[in-house]
Amino acid sequence: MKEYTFEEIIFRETKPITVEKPLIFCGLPDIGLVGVIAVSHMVEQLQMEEVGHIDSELFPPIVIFHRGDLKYPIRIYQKNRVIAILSEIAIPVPAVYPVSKAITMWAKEKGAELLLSIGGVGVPNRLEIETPEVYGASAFPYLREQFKRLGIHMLEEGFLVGPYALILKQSYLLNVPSAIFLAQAFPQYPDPGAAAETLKVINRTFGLDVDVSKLIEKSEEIRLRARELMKRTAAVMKQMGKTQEYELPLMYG
Amino acid sequence: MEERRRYLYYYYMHYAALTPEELVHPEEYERPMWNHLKKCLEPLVEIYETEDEVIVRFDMPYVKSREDITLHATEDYLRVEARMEKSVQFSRWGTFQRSVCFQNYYKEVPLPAPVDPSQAKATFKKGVLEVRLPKKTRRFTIKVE
Repeated sequence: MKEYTFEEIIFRETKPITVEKPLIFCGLPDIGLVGVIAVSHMVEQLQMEEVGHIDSELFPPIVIFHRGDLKYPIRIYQKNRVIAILSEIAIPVPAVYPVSKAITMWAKEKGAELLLSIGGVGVPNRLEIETPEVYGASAFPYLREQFKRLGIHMLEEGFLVGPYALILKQSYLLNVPSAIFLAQAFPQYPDPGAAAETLKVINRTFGLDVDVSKLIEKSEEIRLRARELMKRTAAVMKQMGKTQEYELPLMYG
Repeated sequence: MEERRRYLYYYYMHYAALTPEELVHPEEYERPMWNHLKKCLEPLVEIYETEDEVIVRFDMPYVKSREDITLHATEDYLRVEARMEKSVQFSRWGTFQRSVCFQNYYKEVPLPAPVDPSQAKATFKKGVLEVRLPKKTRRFTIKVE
């Protein structure tokens, strides 16, 4: 077992992660739980192996049992050069800074080709939208150009609040190639449809083959099972001032 | 410093996430989103306020038709009951929970402003129920001189 300690956060690799230039996908609870649902489905469909977890005294005192096995709430999975970070708990506000920083530093340690955060952007008319749009954002111009060429709309103006904002900021500082995909989503309901659209864009962009048909089939079950995580995530988002994402930044020109 | 950090942590974990109503009744916030006696689940709910309306939305997967939904409203609260198309049982969940077959949704929502329930309108689409309740306010036009 290998451990990396970044201030109050510990990354424990229970199996060796030796892949070069990995693509790291990050699914943390956020608007519509888009990242969590998408990454969880990716892990299942690609049959990724659990290779580690993230731990901290800043996290709630929780363990999870899945099929009788004890699991840490924030886990790391791998298949070939694809690595996924998946959280089954809302990240408490005091842990948001340290976790975001640690994820970025770990990605640098692993020599990531890209650290991609997956999230949602709340839209009030989501019920009327059949196919949610997926937007991209990055501090790195070459990534923005690359995504634009692939037909992904880029976020031009606006605020981003929460752990993903900090990951982007830290990545820029540490020169870790990083971006975010944001799907239009229900602000406070789990949104498997938005997660499916994001996975389609990920498939297209990175040449993966994550079948989303089962995600769409299981959509109602996911919405039902994710209610409690959504409720806790909504409470944390409120603390972080997530509604600022609906505001217009002052600077212009 | 360490003590202060821990204090802040517990403050944020337990109180800062709560609305004023939840602070008055924190047990409401920590209450499970299911009731095994009533065999019902609690839907997620969003409440918005506009100048004239209170808008309440419930997310209710597995509810297929508006005929399966019953709504009751007074001036200050709204209650929804809905039957799911099929009962839901999570066979590996917890201890006694695994034996419970959930068949309905049930939720009572206190409204943020007095409304006129007789003028309320509701729509149901893709498992999301939206109820629009006009606020009970008297409005006067003031002439600007």
